Amino acid sequence: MPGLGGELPELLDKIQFIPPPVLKEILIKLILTLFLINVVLFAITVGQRLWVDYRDRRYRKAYEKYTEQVSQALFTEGKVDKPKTRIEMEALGDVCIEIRRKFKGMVEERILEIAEDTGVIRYYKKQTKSFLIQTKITAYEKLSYLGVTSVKPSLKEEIKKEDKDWVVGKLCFAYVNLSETVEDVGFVFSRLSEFKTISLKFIEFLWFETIKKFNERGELSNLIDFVRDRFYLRYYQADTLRAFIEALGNFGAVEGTDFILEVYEEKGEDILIRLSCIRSLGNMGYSDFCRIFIENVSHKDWRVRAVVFKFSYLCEREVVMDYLEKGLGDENYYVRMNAGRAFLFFGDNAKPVLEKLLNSEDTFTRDTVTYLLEELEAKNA
Amino acid sequence: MLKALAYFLLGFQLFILIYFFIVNAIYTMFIAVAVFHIFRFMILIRRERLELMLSNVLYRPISILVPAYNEEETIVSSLKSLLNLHYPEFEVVVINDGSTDNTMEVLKKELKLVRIDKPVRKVIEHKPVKDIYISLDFPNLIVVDKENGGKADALNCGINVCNYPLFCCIDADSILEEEALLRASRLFVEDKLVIATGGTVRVLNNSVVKGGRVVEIKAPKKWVEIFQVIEYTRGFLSGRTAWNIFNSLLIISGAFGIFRKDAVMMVGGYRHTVGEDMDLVVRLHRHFIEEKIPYKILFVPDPICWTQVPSDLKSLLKQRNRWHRGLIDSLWFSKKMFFNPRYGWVGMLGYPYFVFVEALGPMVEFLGYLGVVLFYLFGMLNREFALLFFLLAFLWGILISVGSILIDNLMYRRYGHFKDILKLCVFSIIEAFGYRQLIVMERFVALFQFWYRAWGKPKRKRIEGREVEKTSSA
Repeated sequence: MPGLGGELPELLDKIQFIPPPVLKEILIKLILTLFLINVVLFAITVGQRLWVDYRDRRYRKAYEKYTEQVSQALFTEGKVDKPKTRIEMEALGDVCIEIRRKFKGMVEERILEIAEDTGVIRYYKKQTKSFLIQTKITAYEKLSYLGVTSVKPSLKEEIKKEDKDWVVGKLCFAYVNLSETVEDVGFVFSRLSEFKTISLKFIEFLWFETIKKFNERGELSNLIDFVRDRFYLRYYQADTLRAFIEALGNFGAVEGTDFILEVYEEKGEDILIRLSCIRSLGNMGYSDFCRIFIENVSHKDWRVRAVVFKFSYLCEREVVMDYLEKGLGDENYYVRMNAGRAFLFFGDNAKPVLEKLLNSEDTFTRDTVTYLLEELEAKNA
Repeated sequence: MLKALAYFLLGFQLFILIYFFIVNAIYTMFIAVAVFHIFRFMILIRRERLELMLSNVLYRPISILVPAYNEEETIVSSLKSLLNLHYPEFEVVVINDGSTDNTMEVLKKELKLVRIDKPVRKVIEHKPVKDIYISLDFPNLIVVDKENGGKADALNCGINVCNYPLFCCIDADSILEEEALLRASRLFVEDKLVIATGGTVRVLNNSVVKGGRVVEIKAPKKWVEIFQVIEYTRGFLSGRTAWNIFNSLLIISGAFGIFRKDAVMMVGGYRHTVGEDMDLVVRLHRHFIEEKIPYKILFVPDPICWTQVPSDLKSLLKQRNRWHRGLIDSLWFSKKMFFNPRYGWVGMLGYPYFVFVEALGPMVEFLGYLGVVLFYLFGMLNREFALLFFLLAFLWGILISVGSILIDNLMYRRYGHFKDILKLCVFSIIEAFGYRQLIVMERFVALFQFWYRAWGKPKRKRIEGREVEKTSSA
């Protein structure tokens, strides 16, 4: 080949340690292999996408079909077709769960019947035996949404033998959905308390669901008595108790007021317990909150002061206004902020105090009051 | 003489060839490892229907650090979306790094900020703080107004100010997926050895965002952006997953990473450099190995952060130049780890990989291109072999890109439209014609700029000075 290299090309050819024909053959083989792999990869990528879209379309179609059939079957003698494919089975299962969530009483029983007759329950029960943990969790979760209490024994065994915290958490959620007696509740929350890594927010959420269920059955008082006996008197478990108290407050379960007050009086030296009790009483709008407010407004722990200011609207204006003014000058900013925001609950009645505070020497107070007055004006406008 | 030159040229050819095979084999291995690991991981987390409340089974409180410099246009909307995150316990710490626009005024007005006299324990050095504010509307928001000192300095300040044991640094213009924090923080609960985790960063351009949430994901329209989607997919899904096995992950993206505060304080926080994110991770490895403290730095593919990427070539090249200089600076700063058995897998595998493949890769590739031109000019180019070699490189490149897109598609199905997937596949084919060479050139230039710009020797921050800084009084 002519070029600037002179004899170099020939010399280069001579000293190649892999003969060019061999190298060429290797390269061609490699290229062909890569080409084939690429074609396969490309086909899988495109094919998978098309398959997923097709599956979604079929699921949506099946979901619509079963929504119509199940809705008719609930009130008439209409029949629900037995699912022939996995997609149809999943769609029917989801339809049953969705309808069961919206309606109670007779509808719940009828949905369970439909799920039984069409094989949905059998399908999910089979999936609870899966070696894939996620499939197992999902199956138990769906069965619990459907209210299939017959799986409780196997679910209980799974919860007992499982050692991963997040799996136990998820299985406990399913168990809570199926819980019928206080013994069930005792089992779930005792097991959960063995895992220190499970967040209290999650346990609170499970308590909330439990309270909801027992309240629906008119057995909330039984539950409260059970918790008092099990987690307060017999085995005192501060964290479980706190989560329960917070859940009572979030649910607005006024039946729990006496119990919360009892815990507040006897275990109130534990700041976290005290905070949960105050927050819970505040959330449920406890009628004598003013007493709690006055008892805690000067508490040495800033978190307690901050939380009572948050619920100061439950007290009469004449009682709290002076405290709010003082709170605005608290040493802690979160207390100051909550005190400041509390002025807004009293609307125009708080205006004279706020206007007086506009001349405060403290920048924080002045800035806060300016914002508050602006907000009040905006509300009035 | 001629013979010596011939041997040199043969050696050069061989070097390029061997380098090419090794690098591509590594990338292919990454894909294989990623497929295995991501599948294993996804089996556990797929099809979670219990959504938010159940994800709360495990979590730790987090401080989100948001450094802001001249962000008056976007800061409020970004913050509002962050403050609405579904996470049981978190705070947002915005660090206004001496913005010269109205960032601070906008923040004060929109978020009802009130100045406080909060004392800051200055464990890590940073430029002086002017004021600290809290918001009347958002109790979990803290805004720090400080003198300008750069992103690393702002983050160091945020670390000193924040209250929780974990912190997450994200860019002001990035969007976190709702469950991203829950998924990423859960590792810290499950394993006490974890000191840092990084999630996947994805390209936001052209996707639909409503109320601070990504509601529809679309492939970008501009070619510069599409190529970056492919690069991000390849880099995050295959590259980083594989390094988990050897605990040798050297990069956690600055756009989204979660760190244990005490660990970062141990190494003196962020260092003032262009690639402060990688630099921090490298120094964390170094410190924990030197002090013989067991640790883990992990990449988790599932938590996702969406970010805007440059939409014009000029900005893209500038960004890549900066990244490459940052990479070299981080590696240079911890050069004693290079092939040092004392640093285990990181010293013997992770670090050399980053030196040879990531840092010097552009140079080798550039020399390869130069070689082709020179061989052609000197009449020494065997056209047949050159063509075969080019075909091989081209097909191997496609395999790695399409493989990553496939994994992404199998696992996440983020792109809702078939044409988006098709678009990405087609662009992964044409990436080899021009775009790749442009990026290589810019990184090659960055390599030289690093040495010739006389950057000055970087200083390590000391952590002994635990003075308490008091902000100006109200």
